[in-house]
Amino acid sequence: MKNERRIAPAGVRFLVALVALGAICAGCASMPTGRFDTLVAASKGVETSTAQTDADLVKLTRRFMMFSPAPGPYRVDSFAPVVEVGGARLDFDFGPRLEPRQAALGVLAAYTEVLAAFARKDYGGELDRATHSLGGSVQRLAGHVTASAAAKQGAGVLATAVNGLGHVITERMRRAALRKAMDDAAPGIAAIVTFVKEINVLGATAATTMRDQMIRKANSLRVADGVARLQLNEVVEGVIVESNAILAHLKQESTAVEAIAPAHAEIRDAIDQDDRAVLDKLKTLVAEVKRLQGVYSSLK
Amino acid sequence: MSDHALAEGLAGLASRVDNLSHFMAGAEGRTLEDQEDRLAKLTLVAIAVDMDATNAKYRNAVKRIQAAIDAIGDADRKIQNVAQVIAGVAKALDVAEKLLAKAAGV
Repeated sequence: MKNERRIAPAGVRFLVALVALGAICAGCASMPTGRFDTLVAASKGVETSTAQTDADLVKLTRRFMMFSPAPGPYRVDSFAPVVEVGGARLDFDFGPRLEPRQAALGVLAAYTEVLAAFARKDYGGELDRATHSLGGSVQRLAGHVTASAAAKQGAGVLATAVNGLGHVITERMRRAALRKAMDDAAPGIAAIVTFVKEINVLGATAATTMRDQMIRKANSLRVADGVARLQLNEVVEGVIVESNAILAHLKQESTAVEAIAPAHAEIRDAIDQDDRAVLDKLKTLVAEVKRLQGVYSSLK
Repeated sequence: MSDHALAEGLAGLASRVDNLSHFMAGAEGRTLEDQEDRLAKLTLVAIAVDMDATNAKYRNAVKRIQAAIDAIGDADRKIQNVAQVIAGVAKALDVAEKLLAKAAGV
C-alpha cells in the first residue's frame, strides 16, 4: 500500500506527460496534402503537353522531308531526315533526341507523385489500430492488478497518450523526411527545368528552320492557278499553323516548367502550414499549366 | 554567343542565301536554292548534335531526382517501423496481461 502511494503520483506524472504529447500531436496531425496533389497535376500537365508537342515536331520533320527529299531519284530512304556530308550520313531525327527530356519530365512527375503519396500516407491509421489493441490490453491489465484509483483512471488515458506520442513521432519524421527530400531534390529540379528549356529552345529553332524552308520551297514551286494551287495553299497553310502551334507550345511549356521550382520551394517552406495557407507560387504554376492547356486547345 | 551558335549561324546563312536567290535566275538561282536546302538540313543536323550534347549534360539531374524518390522510400520504411514498434508495445502488454492473469489465478 505504501509502495502504491509512492508509485501512483509518479505514474500520474508520466501519464500527464504522455497526454501533453498527445495534445502536441493534435497541433501537427493534419499534414497538408492538397498542395502536393496540385504539384502532381501540374507536373503531369507539363509532361503530357510536352509529349504531344514532341509528336507534332516529329510530324513536322516528316512534312519538311516531303518538301526537301534527298536529291536524285526516289529511294526507300528519300524521306529519311538525313543529309550526306563527306560520305557520312548525318541524321536530324528528333524523336529519339526528345526522349531524354520527356523521360526527365516523367521522373519529375513521378517524384511529385511520391511526395504526395508520402504526405498522404496513413501512418495514423496503423497507429490507431495498434493503439486500439494497446488500449484493450491496458484496460484488462488494470483490472487484474490491485492498482490505485489514479493508475486505473490513467490506464485508459495511457493508450490515447501512446497513440499521440506515435503521431508526434511519425508526423515529425514525415515532415523532416519531406523537407530533406525536397532540399536534396531542389538542385535536380532546377537542372531539369534548365534542361527542358534548352531543349525547347532547340526544338523551336528546328521548327522555325523547317517552317521557313518549307515556305521558301513552296514559293519556288510553279503551280498554275486552280485546284493544284488550292491544294498547295492548303498544305502550306497547314505547315504554318502546325509550326506556329509547336512554337507557342514550346514557349508556354518553358514558362510552365519554370514555375515548378518556385512552387516546389514554397511547398517545402510551408510544410508546417495547413491546407488553408495561400501559396502564391503554386497558384502561378497552376495558372501557367492552365494557360498551356489553353494554348493547345486554341491552336487546334 | 549562345551555346547553339552553329545552328543559329547556319539558320541565318540559309535565310541570307534565300534573299540572294530571289535576285538570281536560271542555273545560278537553282544552285542557290539547292545550297539553301542543304544549309537548312545542316542547320537541323547542328540542332540534333546540340540536343545530343544537352541530353548528355543533364543526365545527372535525372539521377538526382531519382535519388530523392529513393530517399522518400527509405523514410517511409523508417516511419513504418515506428508504427510497428508501437504495435509491439501493445503485444508486450498483452503478454504481461496473460502472465498476470495466470499468476493471479484468474
